[in-house]
Amino acid sequence: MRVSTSQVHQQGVTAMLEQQSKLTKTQLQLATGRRIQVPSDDPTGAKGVLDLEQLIAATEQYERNADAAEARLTSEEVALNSTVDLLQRARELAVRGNTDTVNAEGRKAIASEVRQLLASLLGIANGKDQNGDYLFAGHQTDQEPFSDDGSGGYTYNGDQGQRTLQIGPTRRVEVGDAGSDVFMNIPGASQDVFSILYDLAADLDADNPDPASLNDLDAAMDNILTIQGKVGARRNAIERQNQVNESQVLQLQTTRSALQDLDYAEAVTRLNQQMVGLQAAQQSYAKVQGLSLFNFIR
Amino acid sequence: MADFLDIGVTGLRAFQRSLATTSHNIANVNTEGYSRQRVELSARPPQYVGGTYVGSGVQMDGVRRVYDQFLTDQVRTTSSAQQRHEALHELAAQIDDMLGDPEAGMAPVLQSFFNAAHDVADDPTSTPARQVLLSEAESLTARFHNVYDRLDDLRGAVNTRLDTMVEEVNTLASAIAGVNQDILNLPKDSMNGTANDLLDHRDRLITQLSEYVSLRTQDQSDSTVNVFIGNGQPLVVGTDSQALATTADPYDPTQLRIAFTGGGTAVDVTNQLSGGRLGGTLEFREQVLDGAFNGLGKVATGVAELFNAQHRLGQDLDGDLGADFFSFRAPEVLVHSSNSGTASISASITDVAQITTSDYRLERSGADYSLTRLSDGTVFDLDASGFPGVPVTVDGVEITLDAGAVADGDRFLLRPTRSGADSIGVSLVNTNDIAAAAPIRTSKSAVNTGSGQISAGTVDSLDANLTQTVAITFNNPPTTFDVNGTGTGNPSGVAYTSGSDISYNGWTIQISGAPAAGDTFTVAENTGGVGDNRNALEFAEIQNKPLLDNQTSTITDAYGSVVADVGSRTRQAQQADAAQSTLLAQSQAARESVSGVNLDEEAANLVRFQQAYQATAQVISSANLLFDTLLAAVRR
Repeated sequence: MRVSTSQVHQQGVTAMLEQQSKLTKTQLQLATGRRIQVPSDDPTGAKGVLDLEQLIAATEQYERNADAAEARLTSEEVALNSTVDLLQRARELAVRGNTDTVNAEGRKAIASEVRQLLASLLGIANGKDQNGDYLFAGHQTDQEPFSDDGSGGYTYNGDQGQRTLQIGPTRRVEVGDAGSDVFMNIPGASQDVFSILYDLAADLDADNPDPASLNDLDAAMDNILTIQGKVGARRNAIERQNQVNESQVLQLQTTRSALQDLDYAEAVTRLNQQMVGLQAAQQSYAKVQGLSLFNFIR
Repeated sequence: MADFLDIGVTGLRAFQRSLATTSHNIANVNTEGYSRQRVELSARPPQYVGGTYVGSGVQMDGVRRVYDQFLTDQVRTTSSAQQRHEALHELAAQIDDMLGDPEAGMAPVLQSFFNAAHDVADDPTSTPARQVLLSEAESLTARFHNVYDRLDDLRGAVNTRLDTMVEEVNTLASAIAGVNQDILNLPKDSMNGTANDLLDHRDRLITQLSEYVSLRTQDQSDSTVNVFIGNGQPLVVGTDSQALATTADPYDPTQLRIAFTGGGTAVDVTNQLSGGRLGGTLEFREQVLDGAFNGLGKVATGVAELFNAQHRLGQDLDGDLGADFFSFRAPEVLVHSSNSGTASISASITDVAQITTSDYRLERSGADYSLTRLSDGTVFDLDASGFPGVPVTVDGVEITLDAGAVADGDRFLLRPTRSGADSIGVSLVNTNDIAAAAPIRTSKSAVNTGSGQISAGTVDSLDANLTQTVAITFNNPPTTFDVNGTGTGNPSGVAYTSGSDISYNGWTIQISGAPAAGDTFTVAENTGGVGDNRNALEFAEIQNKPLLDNQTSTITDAYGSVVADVGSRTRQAQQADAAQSTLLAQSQAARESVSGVNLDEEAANLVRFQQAYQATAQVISSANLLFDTLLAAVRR
């Protein structure tokens, strides 16, 4: 086929421009480490990467929510442990107070210690979590939940709400228990735990111990133990969900990496090839352009 | 003998012309669109002398332009196609870059916003957490505006380009007509019709014009050429040229359309122009830019409407029901400039799960009011649903005739999602107004003896009696219960099934377990419930729930669609551009192969004609010698 002079030139230039363009693209890939620079490089891949990134971010948020849940449940567990220790001590005192070997003086001394325990228990029940919210107030976390009128009447000012946190796409976990369930409405006892201790102290003071108070204390402790069991189960659930979340994040990141990350070995090889290609195009252009019949017709 | 000299002279003349033409070719080796010229030589008619025919030298028949019309047409066609895809690719790539950028796109800021909502759910009384949510909302809306503004800039750039291109087309058209006029003015050439270089010039003008828009040419017998664009509009007829002009879109004055101003009237040809940069730019606007506006607007509409809907079902720190979190303008209804009626029509989004990214045309024809969904041409019969007397809802958009009347033949353009990304804003300013809590709370009586439990409850809709106290009391035997509270109608003897839904006044609860006779459960207003995060849990999870496109897509899906759409169109354009570039290069090579100048060839021709000239000069010299000899022979 007959080739015109400008065609020779044009083809040489076009070839060089093409090589340069491919080279630049490879360079950019190597500099950013991404195979997909703009969505048009791979539209379905780009959408896939967007979806994966959203899932990863959402799962990482669930992990943060799980941390917050864990912190709150830990605060609750500490409070419940102290309560159990306290009630244990109260029971010991009640047993001692009920034996005939103790006299009125002795009973007064025991009563005094029981009142100390009562004050401590009220303090624990009105305790706060790591954010400064009342632990056992239901949803009314800015109001002190338990108040006493000074003469043995104890009122719960909170509600029966229970906060849940989202630790997985379909998993919510309770992070607290209402004060009414922990301290006020005790199955198997006829009054709340503060009144139990108040009456115990009053009876001991009046040298008239009531053996029924032992049963009440047992019921109260059983209630706390049941709730502790629930808290433990929740913490286990969080731990299991954390494992699920972690392995999911890892798997999603691996998939994203497969879609988006550059295969460096392949890219560097390609870069070398394209550089050779460009050099070849440039050198052949230089050589061919020099050839002309006019060089020989003087 | 006299012939001898004559013949020499004819040779000299012929070779002089040949050398001139060869140097003309050499001089124009780099001229674009130049077709090489060849001097056609033929032997002069012989003379009949003494019974035989004797040759009488060489004559020049003409200067032939080496040219193939088919190849030139090929170049024009591929040029139009290549420029069309290049223009489309160049413009689409700008949107592609912007949307897919991991830092500048919408995805990261959407994620941060919903993460901040989760942080509020984790600690509902924390003022800093609430403040962060408001700040993230501001960032989100700012980013929407930002992307919208960039799209709007492109829209303006398209208008500017259309103006410029229309001017170029007009200039080229009048230039072509001018060349046609020149050709008519000049004397005729027997071989080509007219001067070769004028023909080359006109060809080049027409090829340049084909880069702007697809065209067809028609050669006339008087060597002029007519040029037609679109589907037959005569842009150049002989020595007259018509012009294109940009006109305002009859619905939207900020958008330009192309009109053909021939014969005094302006005819809108926007839909008939294809190919070339003009066609590619129009295609970009219609298929990529408008789609990007609407797709982005749908994401913004989804975020605002879904979040607001959930937020309104909650209770804020002041104990009030949630107000709108995001502010949002109603979609625009554009009036056709030639409407004669006085109607004022408005639209509002009523069901965000049904909205599409299409625009709609509302028109009245006689007694028929119809709405056409422009993406697929589906027509909805509005008057059958009572329009304009009552509002009608199509694809989640409610259309209402507010005032005035629609005249026969009036048309309106409805663009529900177009300005979504521009109209979204943050309405809340006070951290206390974030409605993280639910407006109701449930409780069981302290004196219940059974094991029944009541769930925390969810709010489904804003009923007027939502926060009225409602008591549920179990009968003896506890297989049924009575309900007592304003708005419930106080039903009695309702059958009890453990765990099943019980709904009144817009809320739903479940009672489970074994309640005893006389046990009471209460649903009441959530006064003082500042530590309640139930509504925050719901609105934080909006991003992960498929709530758009008839409950099949999440917000991220909707955004991903926009990115993928633009990405695949850009890719298509890029690949088509590459393919057409190859075709263009091939057709140019084919044309060059016939018409292009090869310097080596011309150098060889130079040598050839030079030698021939020298030889002919030698003939003259011989003739002179003969004459001298003759003169010497007859001298005294």
